[in-house]
Amino acid sequence: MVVSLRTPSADCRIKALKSYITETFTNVDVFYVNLGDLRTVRINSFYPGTSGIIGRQFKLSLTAPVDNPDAVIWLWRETGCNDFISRVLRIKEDYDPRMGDWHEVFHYNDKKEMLPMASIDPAGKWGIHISYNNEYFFGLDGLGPETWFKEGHYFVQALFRILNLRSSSLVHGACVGQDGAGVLLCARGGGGKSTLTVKALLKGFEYVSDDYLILDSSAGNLNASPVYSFVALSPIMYEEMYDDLNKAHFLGVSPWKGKYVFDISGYEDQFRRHYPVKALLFPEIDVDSPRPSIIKCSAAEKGKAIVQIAHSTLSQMGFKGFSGNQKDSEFIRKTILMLNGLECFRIVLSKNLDANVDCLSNFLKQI
Amino acid sequence: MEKKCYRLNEAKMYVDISDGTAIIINSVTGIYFGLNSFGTVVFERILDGAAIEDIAIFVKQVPGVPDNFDDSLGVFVKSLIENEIIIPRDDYSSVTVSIDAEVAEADGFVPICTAYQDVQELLFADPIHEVEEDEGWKPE
Repeated sequence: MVVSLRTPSADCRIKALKSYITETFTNVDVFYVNLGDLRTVRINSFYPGTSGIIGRQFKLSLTAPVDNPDAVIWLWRETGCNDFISRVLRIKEDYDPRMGDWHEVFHYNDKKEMLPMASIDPAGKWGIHISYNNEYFFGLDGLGPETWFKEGHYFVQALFRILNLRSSSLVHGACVGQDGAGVLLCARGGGGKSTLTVKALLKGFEYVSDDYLILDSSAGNLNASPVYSFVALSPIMYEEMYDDLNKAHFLGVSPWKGKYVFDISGYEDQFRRHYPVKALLFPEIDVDSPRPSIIKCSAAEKGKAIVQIAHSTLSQMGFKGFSGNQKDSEFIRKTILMLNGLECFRIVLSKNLDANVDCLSNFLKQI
Repeated sequence: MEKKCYRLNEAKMYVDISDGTAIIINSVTGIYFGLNSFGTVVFERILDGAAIEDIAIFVKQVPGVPDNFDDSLGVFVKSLIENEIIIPRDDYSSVTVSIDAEVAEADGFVPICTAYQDVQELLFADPIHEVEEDEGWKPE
């Protein structure tokens, strides 16, 4: 079912939604998150038992309260997804829940463009996602400490919209460096970027992120800033790095690919904001390779690296229920503009994790 | 007759082929293109230097190929050209064409190139039920 709303009508429904949340759930935990000094987001968590995990997830990005945050995220526990659209949003449209289809609600902006506003899964499996202007609403159920790692991923999709600025973006990539010179690792999942990044962190590198980061080129040069202080490792890599993970706290197993999730805020001294990105690095795992190597990419390989970072970001962020004035093509164009000026290298990763990091260290001394 | 061979328009297009699917980005406009699996293998053969005619001859040997395959291939190649993904190449060298018949069959022998500006645009193909300001809304 698809419904479109005029602005006054959409305003009314959002007002009703907020009343419903605040009147139904009395306890709220509030967080303010600084996103790379570009945006400040307030998170209102009405969902019992999630404050600890949210606080740890954003631990190094938390900031003092501000009067007018750029965006607000609302989280509450919703068990009545099947009639939510009529009960809370007061939209009287006949539908058959047995259809198992999503409800899509759109609204018109000032330019008379129709933007996605809400996606509601009547079956409740994926819950309720609503965005309107600079507010994002998540009505979810079944959030335990471990399912959070999967379901909490939706926050990233909101942050992606919030950081939709002229010269900055949230992207799916990793960044580490030494002596103020960083590399941006771009690869899809399973490409070895998390393992290399976390191992580099444990060996004393300066660190931004292993997964999601903020790229900003507004000052002319490209800088990267972190969002989260979590990392996720495969169980095999956890075993490999076990002895070195002395400042990391194990948080649980993510249902997403069975990865182990850690709080690495204990390495705060190595975290960097506005960290200069000097090169693109495209990891490639070759378990038969006796030693790692770094080779300059051809133009085609650089193109491939940029496609991977753009496509993997959009794949992660492309939730249809979230509005934004940004088209995917605009994000891609912006990403290309930010990355095109960088030289691109391919790092062939061997099985020897220490050797991989040493190879990266030597490379960083030369750029 | 001169055979038609093409190469990637490297000045504009970035390509990544992963898990049997090609993603192509126009680095100037930001528009991206997705090819289906059969489209991807045909595209790879084109980039290898195979002539369109040789690709057609090879695929038409596969049992079950529909009679209108030339038309499907023509539409696909036309789409690649019109979207500036490929440009003519001057040299022709005989390249041995090999295409996985199972991939071709799974996609019904139809190679497809789809252009996206925004995935969300696809949603607008659904019928819209307009709701007026006061309809379904009774302030308490």
